[in-house]
Amino acid sequence: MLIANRYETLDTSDRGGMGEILYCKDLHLQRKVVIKYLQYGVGSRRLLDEQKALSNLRSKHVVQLYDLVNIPGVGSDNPAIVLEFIDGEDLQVGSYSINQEYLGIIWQISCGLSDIHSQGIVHRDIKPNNIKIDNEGIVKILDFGLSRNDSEAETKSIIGTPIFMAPELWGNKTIAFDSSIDVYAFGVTCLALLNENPPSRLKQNPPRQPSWKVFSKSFVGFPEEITDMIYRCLAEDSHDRPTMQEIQVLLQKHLLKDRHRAVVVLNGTPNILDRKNRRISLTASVGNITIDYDGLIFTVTTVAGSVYMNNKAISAGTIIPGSCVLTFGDSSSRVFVTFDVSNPEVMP
Amino acid sequence: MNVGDVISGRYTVIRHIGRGGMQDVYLAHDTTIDSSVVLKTPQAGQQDKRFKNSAIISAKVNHHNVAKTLDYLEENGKLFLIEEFIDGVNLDQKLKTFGAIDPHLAARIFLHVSKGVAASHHAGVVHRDLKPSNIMVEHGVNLHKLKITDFGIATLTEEFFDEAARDGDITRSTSGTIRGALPYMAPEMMFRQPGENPGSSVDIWSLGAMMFQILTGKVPFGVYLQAAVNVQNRNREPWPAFMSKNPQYKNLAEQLQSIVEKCLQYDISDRPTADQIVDEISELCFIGVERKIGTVENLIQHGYSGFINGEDGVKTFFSQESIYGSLGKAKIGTKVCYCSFPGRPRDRGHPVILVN
Repeated sequence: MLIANRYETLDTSDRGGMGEILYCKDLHLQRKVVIKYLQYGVGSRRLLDEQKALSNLRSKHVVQLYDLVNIPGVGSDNPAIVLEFIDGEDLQVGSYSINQEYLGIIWQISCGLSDIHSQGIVHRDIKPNNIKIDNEGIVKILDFGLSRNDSEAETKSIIGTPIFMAPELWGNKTIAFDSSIDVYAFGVTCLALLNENPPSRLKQNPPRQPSWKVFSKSFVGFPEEITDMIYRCLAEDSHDRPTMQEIQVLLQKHLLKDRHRAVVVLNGTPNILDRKNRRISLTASVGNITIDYDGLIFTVTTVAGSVYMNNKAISAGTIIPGSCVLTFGDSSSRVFVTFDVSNPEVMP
Repeated sequence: MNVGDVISGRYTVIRHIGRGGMQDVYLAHDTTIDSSVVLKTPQAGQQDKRFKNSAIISAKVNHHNVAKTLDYLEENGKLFLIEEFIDGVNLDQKLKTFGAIDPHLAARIFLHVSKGVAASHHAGVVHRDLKPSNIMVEHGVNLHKLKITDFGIATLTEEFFDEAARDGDITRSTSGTIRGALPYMAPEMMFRQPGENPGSSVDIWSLGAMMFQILTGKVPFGVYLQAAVNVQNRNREPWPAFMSKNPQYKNLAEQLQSIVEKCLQYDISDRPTADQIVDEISELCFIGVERKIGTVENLIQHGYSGFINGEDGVKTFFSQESIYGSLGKAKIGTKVCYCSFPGRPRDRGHPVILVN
């Protein structure tokens, strides 16, 4: 089939008509694209507007919208969207363990969802097989609200079960929901990537938040503040869930663990603080200071005498801001030490 | 092409925004998706086949540090390429503003551009004309959203500039495109013999030459044809002393110099791949805090330090030692770009670069 005189369907596509996706070749640019039907009805206008908004968002985690087409059908034409084809792998349930790779993947998902939520858009169907990793290692979030329909909610295995649906979506009444349903689904996704068998409470109707004891078993070896935040994603009251922005910031912080570097210049000589060299003690006639690196932040651990940071008084427990000057003494014979904290850029 | 023209019933021309060596560039509105796009069309005399091929080749690359190719159309005998629009300027214009860029911001530029180059090399696409004017950045001083654009003369690794090859010595070309590319052009590209087919190594050299310019404010081998002479004679600008004068910058500056040195190796087997560069820069630590613009309001301590009046209305203390670049010290009224950290009574600025 040739669509809009330029998209030629490939053999691999058309797995059964409406609601399915078509893999096509764009004859103009000689590349693969994906065509998805938009369902007719009240929702289709909103879906289309969302697709346009998403496209203008330019998030690297969102698939590019190329075109809108009408596909001739029985009786009437069917509107469809033409999307970038992502060459890569779906995220697989149960295929990850607690390590840097896993942390990087869930951080990227949180970045994508955070981008989407910043536009006021709710994805509504976050689950591992709606998330891909392309050949450059970039997480792509697919299927914005397009695939939610009743038939899908009835399938049985963990893949495609309603297990990703927040408790407030259960029951018969139509309810207003917000981005916190994506946060819930993100929490279940984090768990599902590690473990094919979710705690039984998540499978109830409506689902209940698992006990901390059961939940945290899947996260042994992970920083507790991350496990705790993912646990809170599963809160039954949507107001108790964190925002994707908060999650993104926390995960990013841990991606940088032990990767910072402080350059401390004393008398023209740079001294380096990093994971191999975690402490510096500086002593002058008027005072002394010790600064420790715990892998995440640089903190003043002891201080005595006239020592100032960017001209501010300091005490044990003061956290070093990114860049500062430590001053020893009050008089004209002050000694200055520059202290500059830097880190690699966290980038997918 | 006129403002208001509609191409293919979809793209409305908003304004002319540039003229490269080969094509005219317009800002257009995509009425189907309701977004701003770039519309490129070949200048008279360009070969249509090559324009179409360049569109197909650039469409193979899909990375957020490369401007996306969105559409290609032929209408009434005219050809149009539709590309992602970046609301900003090119890096060449930014470099004119900044002169030299401190190692912290430079490392970020290096990382993002290398990522884009690596992705295009993975797709089998060599840019062959990497230079600051082919890199788009957002407005402002943070140089966010770096995207390589204009794969206009890109060609598949196994193909090459057939026309230029038949003409013989590429350095004698009168083409504006080639002359503009010379300061960044790899020796194997400049002095290639007909039949030779340099590959991805040419982009690595260009990346090195570009980063040399970003860090020092000077292209490493001079401009136009002088560049060809200097590349042949292996006569490169030295690294300027200001790069390592301040021990606060020295360490990162030297790490970056070492990567640039590897990119500018004459023997292509000594050059790293884009992936190796990405790996190396991904480990570098730099200050990635958002930057601001301000004007030096007054100097104290015999001119050793002073205060910046930020455009955001916040005053910031700075030391002349924090200033990076060839332009020397800041004077009252000098415009500066800086990061700012909490302090009393004023925040402290570092790094600081002067803005032309």
